[in-house]
Amino acid sequence: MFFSFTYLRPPGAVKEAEFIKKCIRCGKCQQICPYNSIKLISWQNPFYFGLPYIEPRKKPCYLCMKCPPLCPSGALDRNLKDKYKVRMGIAIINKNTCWAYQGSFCRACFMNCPIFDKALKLTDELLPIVIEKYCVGCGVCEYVCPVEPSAIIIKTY
Amino acid sequence: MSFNISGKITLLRRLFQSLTLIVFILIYYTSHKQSFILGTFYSLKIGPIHIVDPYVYITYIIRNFANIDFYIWSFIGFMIPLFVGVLMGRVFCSWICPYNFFYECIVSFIEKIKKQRKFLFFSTSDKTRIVYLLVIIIIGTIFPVLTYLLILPGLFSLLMHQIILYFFTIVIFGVLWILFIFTFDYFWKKRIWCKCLCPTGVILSLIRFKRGLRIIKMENGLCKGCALCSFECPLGLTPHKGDHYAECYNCGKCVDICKSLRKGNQPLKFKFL
Repeated sequence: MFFSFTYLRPPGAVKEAEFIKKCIRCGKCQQICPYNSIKLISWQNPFYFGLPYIEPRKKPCYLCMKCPPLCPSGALDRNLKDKYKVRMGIAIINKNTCWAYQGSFCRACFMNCPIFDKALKLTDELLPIVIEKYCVGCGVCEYVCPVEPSAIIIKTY
Repeated sequence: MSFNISGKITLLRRLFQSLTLIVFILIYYTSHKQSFILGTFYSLKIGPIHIVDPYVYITYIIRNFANIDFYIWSFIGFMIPLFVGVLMGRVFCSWICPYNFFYECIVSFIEKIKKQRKFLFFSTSDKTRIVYLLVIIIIGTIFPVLTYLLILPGLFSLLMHQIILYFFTIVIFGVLWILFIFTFDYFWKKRIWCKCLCPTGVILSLIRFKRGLRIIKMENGLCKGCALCSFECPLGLTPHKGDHYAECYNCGKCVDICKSLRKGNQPLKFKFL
């Protein structure tokens, strides 16, 4: 479209180009979200007004899987119930700022990952690495990272 | 079948309109605990059925014609407003739509202060509305954001949730947009939005059925031509001439005033079938 920003969409979202076409902006996913993770776009991009997005640094997705069955238009996959099959994005570790790679002892992202010991693993019991096959992109790791700005960020597809 | 709900139609209608606002605030406050009723006027989920605004759904279908995701509950929900529109006319606009409620409240407030009424209403024919509807469907298909901005009942109900949570984000934009529409709706061409520009209203007015719920004027010499009904009409129609059918949205204000004046043998009545 006109401005290509990439937003982290709610779990079960179809591809970005298809999502913009399919979402009818009714806001049901935002209403049901128990953690108020899902927000609606307003000023940031006038062409995307009303589309849902997640800002993982402020409030990540906790994968309760309540929003996909509510979507009336198929922008979110209605049949998705397994949180291990969600693909929202992929976490990327910035090794230049990550405390574990700098020599400190930090396991915040590893301990809080909802796909525990699969999406994030520790090499040598110390350094976190992302396993792309299992990472769902929920953003909990970005939320809990003690570094400012976050040393592990979610990259959308 | 014609029936008399004696002179309290406007009161009943105000009750319905306020109830809509209350229900939408209640939906927000209970949305974390229940998922039976959810949504906005873009799409309202009641049980398994997703009631969808006709304009939103039509543009959605055309936009995704290549790889359509046919969800039976959305389609049934799309038929419900059309079915109600065929049977009852534009009752959604007058009895439920929050923008109309907002408009009538503001206008009655302005008129109380100024102590005068404006009578230059905007008016169009069915043909213009069909052409306008086709154009707006094409534009809405290309720019999906238009479907979001043009459905004012949807935007209103959305703001009722957002105003509690995120006051400074989408709310300010939405309020500014609604005030902008209200300004040209009131000061430039009165009632142009509800009578011609609102996609939902245009669709509902075009699919009306000749024998659905409507206000009729008896042609038996009962009417003395006092034209109080035309004075009261919020859309600026002229029921005393009997030419209001195309644009009437069944609010019942004219029936109320006629009833209060004529006490039982009034020429204006609601009629169904």
